[in-house]
Amino acid sequence: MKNFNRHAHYFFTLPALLLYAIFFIYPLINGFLYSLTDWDGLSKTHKYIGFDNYSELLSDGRIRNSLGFTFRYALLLIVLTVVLGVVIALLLNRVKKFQSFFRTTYFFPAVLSLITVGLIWNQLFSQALPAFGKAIGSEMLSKNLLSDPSWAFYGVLFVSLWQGLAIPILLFLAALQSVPQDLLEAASLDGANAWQRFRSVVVPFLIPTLNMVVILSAKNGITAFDIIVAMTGGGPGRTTESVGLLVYNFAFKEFKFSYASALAMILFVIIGLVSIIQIRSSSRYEVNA
Amino acid sequence: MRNKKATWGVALLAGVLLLSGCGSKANNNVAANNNSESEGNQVTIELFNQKSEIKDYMEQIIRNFEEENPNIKVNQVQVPDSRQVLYSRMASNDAPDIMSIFPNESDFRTQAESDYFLDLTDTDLLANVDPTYYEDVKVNGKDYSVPLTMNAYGIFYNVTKFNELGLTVPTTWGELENTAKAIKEKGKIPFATSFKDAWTAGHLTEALITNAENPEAAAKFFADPAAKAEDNAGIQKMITQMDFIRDYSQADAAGNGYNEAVNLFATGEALMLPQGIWAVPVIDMAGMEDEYKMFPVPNDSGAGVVTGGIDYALAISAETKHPEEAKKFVKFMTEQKTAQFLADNEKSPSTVNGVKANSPQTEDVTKLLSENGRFQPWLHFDWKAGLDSSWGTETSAYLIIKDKGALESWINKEFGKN
Repeated sequence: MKNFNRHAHYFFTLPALLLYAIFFIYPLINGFLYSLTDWDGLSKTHKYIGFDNYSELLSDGRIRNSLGFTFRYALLLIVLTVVLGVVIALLLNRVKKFQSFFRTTYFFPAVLSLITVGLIWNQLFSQALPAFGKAIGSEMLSKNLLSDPSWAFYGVLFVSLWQGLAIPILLFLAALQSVPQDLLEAASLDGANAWQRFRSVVVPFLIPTLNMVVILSAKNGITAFDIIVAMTGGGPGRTTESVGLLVYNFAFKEFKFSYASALAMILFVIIGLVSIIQIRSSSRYEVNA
Repeated sequence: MRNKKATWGVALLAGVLLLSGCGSKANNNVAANNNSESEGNQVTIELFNQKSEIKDYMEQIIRNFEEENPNIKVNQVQVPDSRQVLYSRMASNDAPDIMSIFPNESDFRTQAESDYFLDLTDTDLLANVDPTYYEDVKVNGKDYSVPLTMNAYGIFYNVTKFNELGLTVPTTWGELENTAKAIKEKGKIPFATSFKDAWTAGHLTEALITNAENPEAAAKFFADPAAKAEDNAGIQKMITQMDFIRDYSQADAAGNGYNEAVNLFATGEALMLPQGIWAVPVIDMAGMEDEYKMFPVPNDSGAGVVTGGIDYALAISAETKHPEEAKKFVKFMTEQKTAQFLADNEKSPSTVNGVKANSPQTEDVTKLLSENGRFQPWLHFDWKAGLDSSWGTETSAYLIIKDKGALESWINKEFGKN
């Protein structure tokens, strides 16, 4: 009984574990099994074809194109989220007047769902911006930037940053407040300038948060789906077709369900690898407070 | 020790709550079902509607039906992305009792072969339907669907503005080019198009390729693995015609969707709108004041072929618990008075014997549906399931990005021309 009691706390994980098993592990295994079949999503029967779907994936130009877009998007999203997040958090941390007003304003986009945000910005891009562009006589701004192959990428990136920055800012802000004032003071007594104080005192305290933000935005970037559906639908052409959207298109629009499952498995492996590398590489710099 | 017991208790409680949460919901559902059936034996059947334009008229039809059949309640369901929703429900054994489907499409044939639909072959459900319409959609000689209306594709034009500008209705492709040029010279937009909604590009280009040479040549090209897109006269002509339409569309066609294109036409800024006849209620709703009509997509000889297919059709789930009630409703849809009500309001040509849709806007096109050699079912009916939607994506990509090689190599790959 004593031994038993010592492990009682594991039972607290039971509800979460059950939900996780039902909604994540079971579909994952099922998805893998489907990826080994030729099921089209329509017929009642399917047969196992081994890894044929995976070998077909390798030679599919659309997947290469889509992976290229997704990585470029995820990379820029991570870099900009971290840089802008830290800068805005630093600035918000210094604001003394109207502090809660500014903090609420920057946090506000986080309460909206990405679909809603996407649809609102879609209207701004297709109606408001062209009207503004015509008024100031700019030819580039008088059309929908989202339908311009060279601008659509940045349009989507901008909107996902607008929404996605809110939570990282909040996290960084909390981390900044955990930096002990006496350390900063000691550093300035030792003659450290502002940059040196930031680099050697503040940054180590930001690392755990940084870790989390990088993983979160990497995950958001690599699995980008809802904002793209709401804003460009993968267009113009196929210039913003993310891997997540491609999985959906294969499964539900083009009736290649098993092929879509195989691609989703690849996506899963990619995210897994990125997360492992990320956690391994940055845990070294953490402060053990 | 006390604390440990409490820990155990809380953990167990959390687990039990979680499980009971799932369980009680299921019980409630069963109870609810029993209730609805015991109340005067009323049966509720679900009608899954895939055509948003028709929703309000269907509500009226359902009210009429329920008046005649007080013990049957019909629940209409209409959701966005209906095709994906319906197919997912069918795959998870949750098919609606009655569903609107598109029986020409190859996905319907696949599903019918998988026994998703009730076999209607030896019933009287098709007794009032003109056989020419359901012959084409038999699957392995059996009837799984009841066609009710037809669609057709053409080019809407603003009659009032055409008269003001002294323009005549073009009958050949050359005349269409001249008309478009004349409209542009007068400072108006010739075509309202919407490349952002890929399906609109897909319909337009299917109508173009059907007419580029002739429907037989086009069908032969898609079926023949040896014919390559870059060497095919029809495909090359279609691409040139696409270039022409793009150059004579509004400046931001790439950024506009279906509704924006319809608005441009309804406000009189653009004088032509290539679309299907299903756009009529949308044009009217957008506040069109000028008189408008429709002409067929022209070819070189002046006898353009109209593309079209079965638009509204119903099928019954093979798994339905209420087959008799479902059949009763579908039969009601094929009765002359119901079909006439639909034709009067929704304006699509009816497949029901003796019913005529009075739609002056589209009659120049729809009258060709029954004329020999002037009607061709959508080419994608013979393509494998899902190819129609990627065709739309690829053709709209070409219209926006102008990468001819990419379109050609996609066609070669997807139609097995390697």
